[in-house]
Amino acid sequence: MRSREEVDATLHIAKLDPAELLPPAQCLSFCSPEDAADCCLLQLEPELCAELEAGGSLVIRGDKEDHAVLCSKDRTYEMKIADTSNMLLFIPTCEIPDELCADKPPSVIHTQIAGFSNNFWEVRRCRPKLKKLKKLLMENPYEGPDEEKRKTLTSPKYTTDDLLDQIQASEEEITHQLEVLKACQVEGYWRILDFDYEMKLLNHVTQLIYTESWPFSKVPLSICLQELGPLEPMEMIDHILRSYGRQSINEGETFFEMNEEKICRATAQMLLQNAVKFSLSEFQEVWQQSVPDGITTRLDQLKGLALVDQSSRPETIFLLNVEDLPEDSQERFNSLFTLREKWTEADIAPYIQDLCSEKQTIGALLTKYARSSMQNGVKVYNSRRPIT
Amino acid sequence: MVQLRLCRAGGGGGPGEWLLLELQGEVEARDGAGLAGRLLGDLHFTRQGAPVLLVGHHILYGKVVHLEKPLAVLTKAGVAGEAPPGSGYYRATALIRKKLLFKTRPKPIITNLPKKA
Repeated sequence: MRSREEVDATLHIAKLDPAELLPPAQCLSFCSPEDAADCCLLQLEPELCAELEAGGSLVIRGDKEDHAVLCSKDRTYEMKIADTSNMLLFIPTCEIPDELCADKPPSVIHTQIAGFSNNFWEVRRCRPKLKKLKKLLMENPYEGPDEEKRKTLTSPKYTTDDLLDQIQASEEEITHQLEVLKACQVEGYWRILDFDYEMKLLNHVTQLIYTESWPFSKVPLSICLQELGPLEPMEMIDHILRSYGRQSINEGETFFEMNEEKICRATAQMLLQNAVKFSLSEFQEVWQQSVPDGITTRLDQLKGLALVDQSSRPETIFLLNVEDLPEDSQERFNSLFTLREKWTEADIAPYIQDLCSEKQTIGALLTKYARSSMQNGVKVYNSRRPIT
Repeated sequence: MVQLRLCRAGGGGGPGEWLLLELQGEVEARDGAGLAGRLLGDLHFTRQGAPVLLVGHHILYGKVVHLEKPLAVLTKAGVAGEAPPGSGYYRATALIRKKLLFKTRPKPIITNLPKKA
């Protein structure tokens, strides 16, 4: 062990005045190999640090070929290793001036260096990687109880835990996306309804609303279950009301206020998915006739679902669902510019809205991935580089 | 997919608070024998609170830096064979919020100046 005399001798050789220094000196030494911990450093965002300190846990998720992500309860961060040419030593018991007293006699504190590194992990908030969720659930959509009986045991099904083990996103982000996809739990497994089956259920509900002359804003759950129960499983009727309506409780009874926009969108999707292109005027007519009486269709209800081609004669409309486009920003722009060379901001916005982060607006994304020009007095955007 | 859980170390006060010492370049043992068990040097603080580190024949002047983004010291827990493959977890043994940064070139200590004849 190094003594105070040796420390003072070194100070003398270095021509440092001990009076200028705080009295305790700390002798730093590397700990012996058996005590050396196999450590790595992780740089935390303040909110992650708070969560960890509060006793919460974080999860690192990823496959061998993925970039690992770090998830809190509700956020996803990408992880990247940061190398430095500096040496980073970590010291468990090192004291800093506010802990060292100025008026003590000179002393020696022996301090151990627990380990060292020349890199650390950095994290940066990112969008959750949710596209795989729809892909997994589309492997085996729910087509109704009769079809279900015909399915084999090998048809893939996923519980919440299975999804957490497959998707690089936080639990809350996955739950939210399941809601967006109108997925429901059947016997503990998450399922997406087959679109035709979903439309069949929705049709039952709207037919009933029509025969009972209920307002769309007040659809009673109990009578729906009672009337439609013999046709379809109760849980499915309940699910379709939840997917297309907002629940309210009035004098102990549950009602749903139906969301007209969602009904219009689903109807449009049904009409468009069977046609490559549809003449716009013809489509608008058929669409309005296909929705229940009392609901008005408007083209702005189809943002992110269908696109109007104003350059063709007559004007046409076709299905383009943002959910089916790549989730990586560059790949998304590539596929959009492959589809159409020049976009107005109004047309492209619904297809890039979900790429925006906290600090990145649609304008910023367009500046980064597109180039603007004027065409017949309208500002249009095209690709920055040639699309191969 | 691999999922690794990351929790704070157990015990009353939660993870400990460690300090980081950042040196420009790298420290090597003279004979290349490795650093384990070796003395690095003496750390002093001036009365103004600035750290001074004496390593061999060098003086290093540094400063105390508060880290805006704290670092967690992670140790891999769950000994191999104990946990099923693909699972495992990390423990945040400690948090680091302050570092002593020595970013200037070490100043040599000159013991005996050769006198001009």
